Amino acid sequence: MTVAPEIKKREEVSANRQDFLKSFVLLGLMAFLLVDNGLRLIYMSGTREHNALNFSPLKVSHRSWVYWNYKDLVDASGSAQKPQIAIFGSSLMMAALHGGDAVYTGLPQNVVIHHRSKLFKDLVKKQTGATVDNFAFALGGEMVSDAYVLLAQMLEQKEHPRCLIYGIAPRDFTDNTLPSVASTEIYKYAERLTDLSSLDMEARPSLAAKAEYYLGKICFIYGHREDLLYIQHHWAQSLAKKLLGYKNVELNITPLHIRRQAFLELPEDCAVNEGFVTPPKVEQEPYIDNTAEYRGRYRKINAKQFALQMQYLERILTLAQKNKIEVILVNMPLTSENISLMPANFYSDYLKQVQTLAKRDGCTLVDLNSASLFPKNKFADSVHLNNRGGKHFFEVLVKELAQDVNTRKMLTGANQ
Amino acid sequence: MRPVVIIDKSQPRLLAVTLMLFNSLSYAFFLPLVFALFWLAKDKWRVWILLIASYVFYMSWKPAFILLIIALTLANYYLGFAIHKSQLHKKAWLTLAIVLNLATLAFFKYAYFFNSTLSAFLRTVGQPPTSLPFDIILPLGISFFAFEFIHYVVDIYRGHQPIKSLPAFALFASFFPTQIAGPIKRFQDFIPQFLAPAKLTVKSFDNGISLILLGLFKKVLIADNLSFFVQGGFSKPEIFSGLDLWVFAYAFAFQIYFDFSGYTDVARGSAMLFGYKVPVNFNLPYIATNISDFWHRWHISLSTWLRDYLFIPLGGSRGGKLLNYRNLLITMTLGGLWHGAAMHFLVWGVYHGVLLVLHKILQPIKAAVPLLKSAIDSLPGKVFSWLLTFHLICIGWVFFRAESNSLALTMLQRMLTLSPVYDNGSLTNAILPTITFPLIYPCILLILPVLLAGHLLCGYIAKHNLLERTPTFARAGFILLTLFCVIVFSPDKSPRFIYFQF
Repeated sequence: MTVAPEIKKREEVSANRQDFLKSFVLLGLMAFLLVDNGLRLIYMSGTREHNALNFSPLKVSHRSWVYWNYKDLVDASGSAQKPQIAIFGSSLMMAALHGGDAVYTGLPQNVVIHHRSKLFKDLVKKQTGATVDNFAFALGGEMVSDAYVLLAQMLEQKEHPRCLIYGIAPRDFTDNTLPSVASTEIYKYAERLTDLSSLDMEARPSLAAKAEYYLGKICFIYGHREDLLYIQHHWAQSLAKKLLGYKNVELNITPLHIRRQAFLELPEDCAVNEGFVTPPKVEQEPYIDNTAEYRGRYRKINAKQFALQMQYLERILTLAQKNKIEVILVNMPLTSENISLMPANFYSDYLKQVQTLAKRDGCTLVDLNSASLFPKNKFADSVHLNNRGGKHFFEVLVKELAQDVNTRKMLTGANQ
Repeated sequence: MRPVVIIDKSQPRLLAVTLMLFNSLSYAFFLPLVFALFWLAKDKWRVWILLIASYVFYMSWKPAFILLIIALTLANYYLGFAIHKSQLHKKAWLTLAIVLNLATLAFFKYAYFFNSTLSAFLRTVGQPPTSLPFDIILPLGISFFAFEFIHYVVDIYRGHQPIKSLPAFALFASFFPTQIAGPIKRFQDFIPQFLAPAKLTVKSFDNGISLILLGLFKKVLIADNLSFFVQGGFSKPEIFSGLDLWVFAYAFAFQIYFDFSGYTDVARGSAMLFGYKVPVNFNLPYIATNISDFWHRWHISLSTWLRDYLFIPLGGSRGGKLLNYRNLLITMTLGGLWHGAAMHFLVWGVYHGVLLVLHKILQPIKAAVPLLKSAIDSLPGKVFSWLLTFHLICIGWVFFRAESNSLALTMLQRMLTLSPVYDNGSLTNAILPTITFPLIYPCILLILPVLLAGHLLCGYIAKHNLLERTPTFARAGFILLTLFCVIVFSPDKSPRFIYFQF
């Protein structure tokens, strides 16, 4: 009498198990695994750049500033004009680069595609007689860790620059909003082009970031979202062209500043028709007080992050040394009011650490942070140089470098 | 765990927090783990496993606030018994229980609102404004579990038996799939499911996973992508044309629907994986042909709660037309305020109250005029009613979504102009058609009609029960496609569910 319910229960369990074989969810998941691994096999039959899925590191759904830089760099590697000097830095260097050329040439500079300093090239020629091409990888928010991955990527090119001029400032070592090294747009993009597996784990300190990283490795579709998004984006644009009659979908007609204002959450997407720096029309360029922003930035310096970024600077110097790239560190000019916002002794500690590193690795450090060289009228705000300030910056820098025998050789390549 | 920044300046101070959201990777690990533990355990431990999991889920937000849930759970549990047992002081115990729940809700949710309203009044009479001597953090889900507790004590007062098992009662309020944003459950439906032995069936497994995937699809693919677009329009309405703003209002209508119904689907699907059913919250609200119909289809668990525990106690439809209208207005106004402690939510509630009253007034007129009745009941009449209802709802959403009433009025004023271009008449400033961005932006004008058509199609499918008749391979294809889309098209930054703030 007691056996019957047990048998019945066993039969129920067995029937239930058999039912699971008919589960459409399990069938769907199996189909997903098949598709995922099928795509992986097809992809692996080619290379990162040339594969049957037609995925490419340069095919992205949103064209960030990093994208344009890389595109230009990759294009340059195939051209005769190969840069011998690389210029790195954050928006501080970026402002000087675009503004300097705008004043020097008297022409508007398209910041999306302007990655070579004509002013710098001509100044070097004038001071040393050598014709030296340069390429600037100066981007807003570029952290030192970003500069490291940029350098690592640059070294993968057949012919890489022989000299690196790297403009640094305390802000490049500390950012309160940065969750991890791997979270920046530059890192994410560099990851598409370069094998950064040696940094993968340390660049993702949190468990969630690590889990996400491994998921991307395990699941092909998850790891190639950007490539699949590009395909979707491409189709969506074609559809928009056909059905809505859009003509130039590659261009953004709505001004960047309005899109930025209205769509704060959007990933950055710049088209070639926007973002121009024009030569100043007035004697005194406008000054914007951004001290409130920097008060927030400097309020709580993340010591751990600062130390980590300093380690990346050390790595840059080591990597450069290993690959016979000469490094010139430039301590970027700041206004005294900006420095006064920093916690006590922070700036002097920063400079001391940079000096120690530079001395240890035998690299040149040019300190251009001088109120006499760069008075307040050379600034657009408390940290960024204005257009005339940008021109002045390159003039001072090249003059300094040309005066010294060693750095002059670095510029001209006489050391190589 | 995904960091979530909760920002709402009109609300109690909300924190940058780490929360296990349904659309986060941490939930993708958490749910299978709890699922495995639940089904591997013996029956008697399953409630405990879910209870612990639910508390862990809540503590992923802010651990200290678990004490609030536990305290309210214990208080309501014992007050339930007090109400049930007491002969003389039944009402007093009930009052105490309701006051306790409402006072907790009022303190956390409305203290800033009362203070700012008082300060505004004091300013107008030339007095210095007041300020709260402390910061208040709004506990997640408080509006939902406070309403579940009130429902419990009121129903005990009405004669239902209290729940004897404390863990089952604790789980009723804290059940993680419905913990943060409902649906608002009824204990009479829910508790018996805990007490009966749970059984995993293929049907509940398949339906559960399908609902979760469908919910994520709605949330991350549609609502999240729309949210970027909507954010632009509602934050800077002054830089958009009248027609642009209409499209933003339509987009928000779909965003909030797909966001909240997506959340509900994930909640219901997650519950189904444990063999439990939680109430349906939506029934294709945008096919409603009048405002009353809309409220039978939108956030059903809230509207039925408001009906049972506010509208009916106020007198409901008894006592004449005027009292009925008054009760409707009070119910909807408080319903609006429940969504958020801000004037624009209050206006949204009043707006819907007025629409419902107007609907009530028009009903007898329609019945008395045969020509009007036949016109409204004809196909063109129905299409007109549907369009009118949809647009009235969209106007309401402007108040709901805008950060203030003045911003909402600015938007509505501009929308009334129906201008296709920005003020200066230059086409280059007509922003909408020129934005290029994946998925939503180039095709927004195509996507919104598709969403509306899809909504109508879903109604047809549900009506004719077509899903049940779909072959297995087609359903498997649906799973494959949904999973693929959720993985590929989820934005990197997924905004939190809209209803989390309530």
